[in-house]
Amino acid sequence: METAIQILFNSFVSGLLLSLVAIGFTYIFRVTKVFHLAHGGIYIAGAFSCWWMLAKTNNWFASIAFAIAVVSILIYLIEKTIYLPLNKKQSNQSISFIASTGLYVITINVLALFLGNDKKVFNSSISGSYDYGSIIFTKVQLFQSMIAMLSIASFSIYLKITKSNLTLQAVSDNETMSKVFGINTEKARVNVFIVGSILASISAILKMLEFGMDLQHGMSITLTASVVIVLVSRLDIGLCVLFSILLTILQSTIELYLNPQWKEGITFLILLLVILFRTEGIISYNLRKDRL
Amino acid sequence: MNYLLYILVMLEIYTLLALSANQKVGMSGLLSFAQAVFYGMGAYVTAIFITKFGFSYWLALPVAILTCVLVALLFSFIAGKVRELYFSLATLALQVIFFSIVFNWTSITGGADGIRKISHPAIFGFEINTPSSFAVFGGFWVLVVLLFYGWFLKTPISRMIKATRDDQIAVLSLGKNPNYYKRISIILSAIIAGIAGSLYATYSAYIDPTSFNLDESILILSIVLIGGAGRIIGPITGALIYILLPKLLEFIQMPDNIAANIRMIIFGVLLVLIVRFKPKGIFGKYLIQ
Repeated sequence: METAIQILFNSFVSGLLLSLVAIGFTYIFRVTKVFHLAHGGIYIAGAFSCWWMLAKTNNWFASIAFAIAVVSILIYLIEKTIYLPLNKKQSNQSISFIASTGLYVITINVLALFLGNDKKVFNSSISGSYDYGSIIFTKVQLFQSMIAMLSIASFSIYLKITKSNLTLQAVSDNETMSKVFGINTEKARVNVFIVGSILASISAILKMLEFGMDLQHGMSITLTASVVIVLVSRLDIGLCVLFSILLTILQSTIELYLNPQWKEGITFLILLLVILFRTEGIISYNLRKDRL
Repeated sequence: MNYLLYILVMLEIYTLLALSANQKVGMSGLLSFAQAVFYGMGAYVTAIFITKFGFSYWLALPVAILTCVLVALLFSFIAGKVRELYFSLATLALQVIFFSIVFNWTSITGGADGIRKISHPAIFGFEINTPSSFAVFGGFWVLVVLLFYGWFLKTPISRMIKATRDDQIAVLSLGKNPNYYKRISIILSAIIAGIAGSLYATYSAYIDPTSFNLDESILILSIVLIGGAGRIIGPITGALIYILLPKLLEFIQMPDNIAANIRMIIFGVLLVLIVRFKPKGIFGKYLIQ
């Protein structure tokens, strides 16, 4: 019983961190139609730039602000120079997917070149834990879940206040018609890229607090987030969070009963089965067959 | 000299891989992120049958090719079910699953430690174990594949494969089954990649899962897209650029510790520039759709 509670708690925290990446990835994918694999590079860029600034200034506020500025500028440049021109040329999703793959390769190798290939670790001042029998809640985990929930809530409130969700839904459904009705689709695209990237970098910084981070982690979490995209298939923050947590519970269970390395294989087996037998996602609107 | 021969063998292996990916991407329009699955399958099956069952290279190779064909049938099932981005995502999933299997099935694949002491091939009692003999052996396989394409590209089947790529509905209206031609293309691609894998395993005498991961699949796909998909010259050019890039970096005296990252950055930039400004690649004929 205690093991089960511990797994549930750990999965809940990891699920929240995954959901930050998945929400951003889902919004980017649904609104812009770009399968933004470079999200993994942005994720690492956020964590590494925060780590670099913290090493220079020892100021958390400045470091987080710097990381947010770096990813925002980076994704703005990517959107304006690569994705948007491809969109204007009406290139299909495969083309932007390839471009995104190239951007991921560039981002990761530039980071490796300037900051090294080794694992980066924060000198976190948050240590200690609360023990209830054999169940351990570390202070870092509690901090992670608090900030993650706050970020998700802030994003939801932002969408409500600005009424962006309806706009983004419209752009997602039909970009051309959205333009006809006066929606500034280019602005909507930039916004969704920037907000998605900020959410990813918050997740990366929080993740780095606990275990540190290496360059490969970005791809791994982005691929897992892509499973959430396919499973959910709609713009819904609550469902993204729910599926992220369920996915991490599944992965933790696999880690407990099998070799931890199987977890990615089994996660992607689920993705494959969903793509093959329910391409429109588990919870979704029905897609027309010609969109598959 | 040995280093130059090593470069030549790697060029031959990557040419085979690029030609195999071109069959899928350029000839059939199937953007696959799992080319390293067939490469790895060829390498692992060859290595396992040589080291565990004492097969010779020439007996292990057909088994490796047969295994690749069986997996290719699974791929063709996927290609028949989904298209475009969803096909790419499905292949990406298969790539991760394959890596997971070779990494974890330690009793068969050796897991992270890989498989060592893979014996070299022999022809009529002459063992191919020197860099020069491997360069000739690799060249033989490239020649076989090129000669095959010299014939195959003129056949009606090849034209139907391209027709399926360009207009699936038109093929259907002719009373033909597009999935049949996709299947042929995927099987052909798998066989060539399997041969490349088999060659790599016996050349390096050691394989581990990291040579057949998602990064490798992305790399193979990039080689084809940069060189240009849909023609034979495209993948060969892409492989040449990839293999000769390190030599160029050496020529400008780039330090070894950063050369690998610089090479990947250049390759990534090339990929993005090609997609942005020359989507058909350097010598390509086919625009990915």
